Parts: sequence; structure tokens; C-alpha cells
Amino acid sequence: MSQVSSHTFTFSDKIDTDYIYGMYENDYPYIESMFKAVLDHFDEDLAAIQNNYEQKNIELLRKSVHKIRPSFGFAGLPVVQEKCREFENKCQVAKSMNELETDFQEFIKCLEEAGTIIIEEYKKLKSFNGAAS
Amino acid sequence: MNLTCVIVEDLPVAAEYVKRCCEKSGMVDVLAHCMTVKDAIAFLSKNQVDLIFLDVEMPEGRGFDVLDNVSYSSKVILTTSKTEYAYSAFEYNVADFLKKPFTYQRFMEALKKVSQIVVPTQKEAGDDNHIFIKSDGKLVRLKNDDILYIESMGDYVKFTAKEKKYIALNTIKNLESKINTQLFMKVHRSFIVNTSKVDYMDGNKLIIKDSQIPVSKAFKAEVARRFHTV
Repeated sequence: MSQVSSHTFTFSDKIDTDYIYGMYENDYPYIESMFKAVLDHFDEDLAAIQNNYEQKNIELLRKSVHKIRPSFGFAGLPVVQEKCREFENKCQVAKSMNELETDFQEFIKCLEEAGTIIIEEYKKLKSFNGAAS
Repeated sequence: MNLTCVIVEDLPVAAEYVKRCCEKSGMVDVLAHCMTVKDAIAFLSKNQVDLIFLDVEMPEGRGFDVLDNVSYSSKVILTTSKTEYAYSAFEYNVADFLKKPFTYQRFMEALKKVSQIVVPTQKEAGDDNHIFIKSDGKLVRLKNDDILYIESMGDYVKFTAKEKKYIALNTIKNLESKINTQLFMKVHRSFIVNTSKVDYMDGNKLIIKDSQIPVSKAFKAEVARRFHTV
């Protein structure tokens, strides 16, 4: 792993810093690489969720939500991760996609916003690490 | 000597994290990362590892399918975001359960738990004339010369020594790669014998003191070569 930094990066208040430091300590280049790893597959995973919803396949929808769920944890967004878990549970009990419609719109919006936060943090981290090196 | 592992995980960021944790620990060498159940089965059919980091819910199957399809002796740490698999984990004799994402500290706790139940090899002990086994809560030094034979008991093995018998959490398959092969030999899927202790061979059986050890067809030719007559 990279050397830990003596400088402190200021995360967005949306990011759970205790969670982040518990996983990566203050190894900012490492954190940057993990945010990048999350983003590398984020659009694809989000598109799969949207597609499975449009195809009205509840089980595949649940699976695609399950797949993206830990990514939010790795990016310091355990609250969004928890929302994924809740939505997965709703998928498990729903008998038709109609039952999920309202929740889904709110859920997908939450994921998109989370994606924006991760992108912003990644850019900031990249700049921070670039300046430090 | 480090433990070897394979990471079975469909989420790249999670696999990357486990890999980094392994590197940071300095205790585990990652031999492969398999993104599908199929790849994991193929890899584990040809390679032996001490440890499997296993995701449960994967696109085309469950991680447990890997364990169902591979004759494995590795220890397993489940890495999943669902706690519902705890019961299955118990059934599969999983060493620990890491809920994703987990902290490095939690990773190390799991790793320490595993490293305590993996028998150090002779190379680790720095000596070829004995092995260490963990039996009855104690780390026991067994001289090779005292061991008569080793017998499989599922997830455990029984070491029959001159004076005493010892039960240890391990498998024949795991021991096979770690024992002194000049002295010990696998003669059956459930038995390894100390060749210097064999009194005689009678048909498909090796006689060591009062014990009869079966020799399976697959090993008979090799056994005959080893015990060739003058």
C-alpha cells in the first residue's frame, strides 16, 4: 500500500469519514484508487438496474441492486448502501413491478446523486494527491 | 511462509480491497482473482490454496456452488453484504464471515483466526524432521519418526503416533503438499503412511504394527514401486 499522508484531505460532509478511515486509514492515493475502482463500473451497474426495472424483472433487479450495494460502502456512503439493502428487501416481497414504482424512482435518484458525490470526491482526491506528490 | 489464497468475487472494487488487505497484512499471497463461479471451480480444480475469500451471491450462481464442486481443503472466509448466509456458512464450516465493506482491522481478525488453524508446514518450522499440529487446543510438535500414519476424518485428521493419537483440524489433501514426501506417502484418499514404519504389504493392505491401511487402486502401482523387492 502507499505511504500514509501527513496532510489531511477534507471530504464532503456526505461522506462518512470514520468509515473511510476504518478501511483505508489516511492513505489518500489508495482511497483515490478505490474511488476510481468504484467509478469504473458504476455507470454499467446503474444501467443494469435501470434496464432490469424497465424489463420488469424483479429478481434481476434485486440482483443488480445487490451487486452495486457494497460499492457505496467502499466510497464511504454506508447510508446509500443501507438504502440498497432496503430496496433489495422490497424486491424480495414485491409481487409485481407496480408495487415498486414509487420507491424505485426515489431509489434511482438517490443512486444517481451518490454517483455524483463519488465523482466529485474522486476529482478532489486526484487533485489533492497530484499536488502532494 | 505466507498463506496462499484465491479471491472469488464479482465486484472488482471489493476484490481490489481484499487484495490490498492481503498485501498490507504481509501474511497472504493472492494467487488469483476469479469473477465467476465457473472460473473459481476451474482454478481450484487445478490449484491448491490455503484460503478462499468467497463472495456468496454471484451473477450465475452462489459462492457455495464453488465449495460443492471442488474437493477443497482450504479454509474459507465469506465476504458478503448479506448476513442471511450465516447458517449456510456454519454448514460449510466457514472460518469467518466478513460483511462488505469491512475494515482492515476486521480483516486482520479473520486472518488471525484462520492462520491459527492452518498447520504450519515443515518449511515454516525450519526443520524437516518434525511437524507442528494444533490438537486439543495445543500446538504439538510431532517427530516424523514417531508418526505411523495419518487418517482422514472429514475436516479433521487423526495422527497415529507411537505412543498416542492426535486429532487436528486439517485434511489429507492439505497435508499432502506439506509433509516430507521422502518419508510419507499417500496410499489412499484417506490415508498417508510413514513408509519407514510399514511392516509388510498384504494384497491391498499395508500393515503397520496392528493396523491395516488400505491401498487404493490409484496408488497401488506407486506403492509397489516404493516397496520394491530386492
